[in-house]
Amino acid sequence: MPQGEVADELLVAQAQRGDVGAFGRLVVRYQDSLFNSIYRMVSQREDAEDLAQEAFVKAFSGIGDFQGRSSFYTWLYTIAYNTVVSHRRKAGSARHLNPVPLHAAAEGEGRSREAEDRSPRPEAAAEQRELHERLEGAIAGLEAEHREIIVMRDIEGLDYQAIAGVLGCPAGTVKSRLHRARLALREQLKDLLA
Amino acid sequence: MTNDEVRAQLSAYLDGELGEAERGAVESALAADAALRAELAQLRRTAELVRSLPRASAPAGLAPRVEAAIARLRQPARPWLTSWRLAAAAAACLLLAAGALILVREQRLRNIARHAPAASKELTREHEAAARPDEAAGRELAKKEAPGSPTGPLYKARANTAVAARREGDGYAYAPRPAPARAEQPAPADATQGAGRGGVAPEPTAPLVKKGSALTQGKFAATADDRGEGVKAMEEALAQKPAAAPLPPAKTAAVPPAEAAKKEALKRDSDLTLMTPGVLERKDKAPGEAFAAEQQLGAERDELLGLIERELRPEPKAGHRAVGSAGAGVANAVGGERPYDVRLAYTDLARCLAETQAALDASNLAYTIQPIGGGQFVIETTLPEPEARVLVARLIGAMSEKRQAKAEAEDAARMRDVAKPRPTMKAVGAPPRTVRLVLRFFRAEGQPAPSPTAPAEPAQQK
Repeated sequence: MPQGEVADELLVAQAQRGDVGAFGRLVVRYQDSLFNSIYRMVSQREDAEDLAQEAFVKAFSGIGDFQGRSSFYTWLYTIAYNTVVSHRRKAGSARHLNPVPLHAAAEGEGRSREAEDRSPRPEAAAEQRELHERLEGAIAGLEAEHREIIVMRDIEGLDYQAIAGVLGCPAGTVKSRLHRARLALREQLKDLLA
Repeated sequence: MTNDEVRAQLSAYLDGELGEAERGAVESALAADAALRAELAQLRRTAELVRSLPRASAPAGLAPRVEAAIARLRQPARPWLTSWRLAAAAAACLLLAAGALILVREQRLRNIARHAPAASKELTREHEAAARPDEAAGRELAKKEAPGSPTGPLYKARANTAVAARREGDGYAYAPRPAPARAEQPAPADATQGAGRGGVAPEPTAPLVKKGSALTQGKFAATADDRGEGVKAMEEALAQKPAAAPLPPAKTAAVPPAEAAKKEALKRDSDLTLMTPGVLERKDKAPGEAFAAEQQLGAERDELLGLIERELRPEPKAGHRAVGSAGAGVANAVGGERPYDVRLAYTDLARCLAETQAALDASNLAYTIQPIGGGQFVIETTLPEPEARVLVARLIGAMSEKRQAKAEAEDAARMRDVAKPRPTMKAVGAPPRTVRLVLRFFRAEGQPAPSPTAPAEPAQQK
């Protein structure tokens, strides 16, 4: 935690006493991470925005139940994951075969392209963009539970124990499911890995 | 650890999620197997590619939107929902409900008040008539009012009684029960009271309840049983032929003797025999049985009327012209060569039936009446063509007053001596051809069928 930044526990305690401002600071702190995970899970930016907002509102509504047995972010992430699962059930689709590429969505909003802009050469930037589109398509083509566990581990960086807490399953299940997910993704990217 | 077991642990090995012993076993296997090492490299590359994806940033307005949504969530309940306005709204709802209940109750009481006196009056009259020994005189008066007079209350009253009885079956006490004590009052000493004074024109007896009637022995008996306890009690009281009560004073104008004699002569020679349920056929009867025949005729008319009423439906057939009453109009008039198939619309079933039967009786014809459902009924007869034209013209009201008077005079002459040839049928040259006349009656458009909640005849409400 950077110096001078208020700890999550303190902000959570203030939010539990009804301090919306304190909760707002938590929102600002975790909104990008949460939004990124949700976006990779649902592959649609507009859906991700709505789901992120819904997850934060749910978190504020239920913050009185947060007892600190896990980190606030893991608790928040669990709420977001459940919101995504609920959305997926309502939508009735486990796979998103036509994801909106992140750079396209960002360009549509007038936002700066992130990874591409760091590339020194236009050709390299184009190659990078093509690779990302290919990756996003491959991830979107996975089964939902494979896509979600890859997002949690390889994008969000959660450890197996945290993932087990979010999914509500044993760590052994996380290990085997993640391995199957990676094998499935490897099949999708076989030509890139050759 | 086999190679397959090692393969299953490669992802966890990459993520550093294996224990010390497992990690050592995997590393040993990897050192010994190049294929395992290649597989591990592919998994590592896959994970690296995923991690290389750019991180999406939350939209700029996400935090404010979340705070706004939370603010809406935390808004207190609207004041008007919890304040006195809520109580006022609830009170208004209660008042409305109470008002509706009062209106319904008043309407029900109004219906009862409207129908009960009429039914009571009718029952009283029938009791008095039943108790009167001079039944022939009462019969004459009744005949004066019923078929010959379109506004006579006889058939309307009977229809009304049936309606009242049906309402009683619905749980509403529209018709008071007849008082048994009244039926046991002593008979008057003067047997000539009643008709000789030109008194009220009640139905001399209640044909519906005449024991031994053909109607009570067949299908119609069950029909009569369905009419409700009030009517059944009335039937029982009348069937006992109790000693007559003192005759009430005359309430209506005296019946012209000639008119009464005409009707009596007409009825004396006729009778109706139940052929099949709902089908009546008239045949000649010995004069000595005129009284019983009269009673049976009235009973069967009542039953037919009730049967037709029960078959009425609110939706009249389309495509026909509405008329004022029976005989006042015709939809199809007389058409075609044979048979004469006449369609008649009626608006008042009781009057229609009474007038039609009176016209047929006046012609001294054998005929059948068959209800065919939906408030429709068919009367069939066979008669010479000129007489059929006269009859139809009379029914549809197409006769001029002069011709009507002439026809009535002819009827009277015919009744005086039925053996003589009928003036209207007197053959000139070749005998007239005989035609089959089919009269099809249906309810006129826009005339609702009688319903249990509909008011009774206006005349009965007085």
